[in-house]
Amino acid sequence: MRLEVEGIGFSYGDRSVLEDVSFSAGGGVLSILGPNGAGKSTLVKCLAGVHRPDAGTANFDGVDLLGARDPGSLRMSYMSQEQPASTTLTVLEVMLLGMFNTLSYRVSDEELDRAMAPLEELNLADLSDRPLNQLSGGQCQMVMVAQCLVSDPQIMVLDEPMNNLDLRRELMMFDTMSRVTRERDLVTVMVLHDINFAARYSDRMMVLKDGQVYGIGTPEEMVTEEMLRDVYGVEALVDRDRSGVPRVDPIRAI
Amino acid sequence: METSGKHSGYRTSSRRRVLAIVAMAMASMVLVLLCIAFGETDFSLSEVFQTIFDRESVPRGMASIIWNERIPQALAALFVGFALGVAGAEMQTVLNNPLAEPYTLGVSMSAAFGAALVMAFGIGTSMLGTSAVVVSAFLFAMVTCAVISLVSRSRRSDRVTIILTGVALLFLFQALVNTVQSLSSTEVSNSITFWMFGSLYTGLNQVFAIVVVLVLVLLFFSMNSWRLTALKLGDSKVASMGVNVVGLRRNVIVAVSVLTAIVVSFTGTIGFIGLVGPHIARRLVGEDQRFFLPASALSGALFLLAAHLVCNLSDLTSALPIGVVTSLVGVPFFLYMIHRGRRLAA
Repeated sequence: MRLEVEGIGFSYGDRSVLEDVSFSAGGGVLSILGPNGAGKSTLVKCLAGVHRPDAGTANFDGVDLLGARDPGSLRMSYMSQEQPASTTLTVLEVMLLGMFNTLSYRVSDEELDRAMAPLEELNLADLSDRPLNQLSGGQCQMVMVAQCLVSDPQIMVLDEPMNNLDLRRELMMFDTMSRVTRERDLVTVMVLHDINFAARYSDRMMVLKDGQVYGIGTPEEMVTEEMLRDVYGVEALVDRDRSGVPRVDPIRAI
Repeated sequence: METSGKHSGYRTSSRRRVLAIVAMAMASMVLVLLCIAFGETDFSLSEVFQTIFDRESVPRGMASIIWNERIPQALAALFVGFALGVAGAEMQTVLNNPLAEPYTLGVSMSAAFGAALVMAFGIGTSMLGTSAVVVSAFLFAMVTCAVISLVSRSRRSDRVTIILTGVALLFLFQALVNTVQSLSSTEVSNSITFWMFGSLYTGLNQVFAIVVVLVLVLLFFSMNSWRLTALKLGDSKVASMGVNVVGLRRNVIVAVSVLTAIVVSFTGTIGFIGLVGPHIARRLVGEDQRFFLPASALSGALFLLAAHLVCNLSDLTSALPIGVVTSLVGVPFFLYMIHRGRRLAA
């Protein structure tokens, strides 16, 4: 099971956002990092079928991600940055929408069980009857992550899934995503901003700069003082925590 | 048993929603009967039933009033309310804006302009006959829907921008209708004025045409009910699930335009049904389209039937057009919605 991306290019009108982006990812967590405007969200939108790239190919297990999307042949979940906070749909209804391609007019008990399972997995079952517009930003974010699991995906593409989460929930969410990725043998692609969390929870990291791949590798390979200077324009010290994971101590903007 | 107990919240809520829809359907039937019974001359319900089921056994005058005036008007109120409720619900869904409806966005007025052009100058009648009115109304409704849709896709557009664009289009087409009136004969101008306020004086054939279009449109919306509900999750999310969001939105807009055009060309501009109906429906059954769509249709029908009954019961039957009554309720409601939206945003 492998995600193979080759030569992706994308422009908004005349403005080129992605140029010749190529990478591959097997089972595990691949985090995508880079400064604002580097093209991270655009790249995952291309992978999720939201944008159609100008050039390049993307395959997952032999299925073309960029062609016509047949929900039956591709088990992918995508979480976008836009949150449906204004809706009065309940949490359980939102979960059902995560698998609407397989639902008929009447929802069976088995389908409700499937919709509830990720909520129970993420300790959100108590929220199931609450309207989404009555949840906090963090709770809403957790529900949308849970929704990504409901369709039993093989690949998950999450665009800044930790936004709006407090420290405790962020840790819980990272632990859960790591566990779920491992147990279900998923390919999980996450756009992240926090380099320290990304280093701690990613199997591999890809850094984008100006729409191009700056580098891809293990956290130890990628989180370096040189990368922080070149990509982020930040002077920082990089040391190791007790488990040997790189840790960034920012000093100043260059 | 444990499974059903576990989902009791969802099942109870679904049952409550179905009950609300059934109750609204029954209330609509009651209002239809009352609309048939009450008017310039009042009839008892037994006289109404007797006329419906055994026309020959009642005086010819009574049968004529009930069959030729009351029943077509009551059925027109039922199905026009139904259609405008559905049109409002789906416009609000695809534009993600609870203030959207055919009247406030200028779609009804643009259809009215299209129809007025044909009524005044006979454009296209040589080729299409009387259906030229509907075709012209549809084309102008489509153009307005397309403009609104384009504006709503712009990143700079918020809810207020979309509504203000709609109101501007409403004024524009209102001015164009006035221009058509000033260029046409007094007789045609008067009939356009009367028709602009909305009127349920239609025949059973027109009601039947509305029902046919309504059934086709409802079929399309029902087949897409999960997709339409999923639009609440945001375009990107829905697109990633294999839905052609642009195509879905375009098809909904075409369907709403057809519905609005046929209603406007037969009954004139009747405003605010598409605003009030879906709002009540949302409060009663939530935003799951499987419930929201029928509830919006029935709320729209109840509102228009109630307005029609008010006209029938008052002594102003011939002087108080139906569109005026719906506006007298709809405008304060529209203002309430705007202020409520601002309060929530704050």
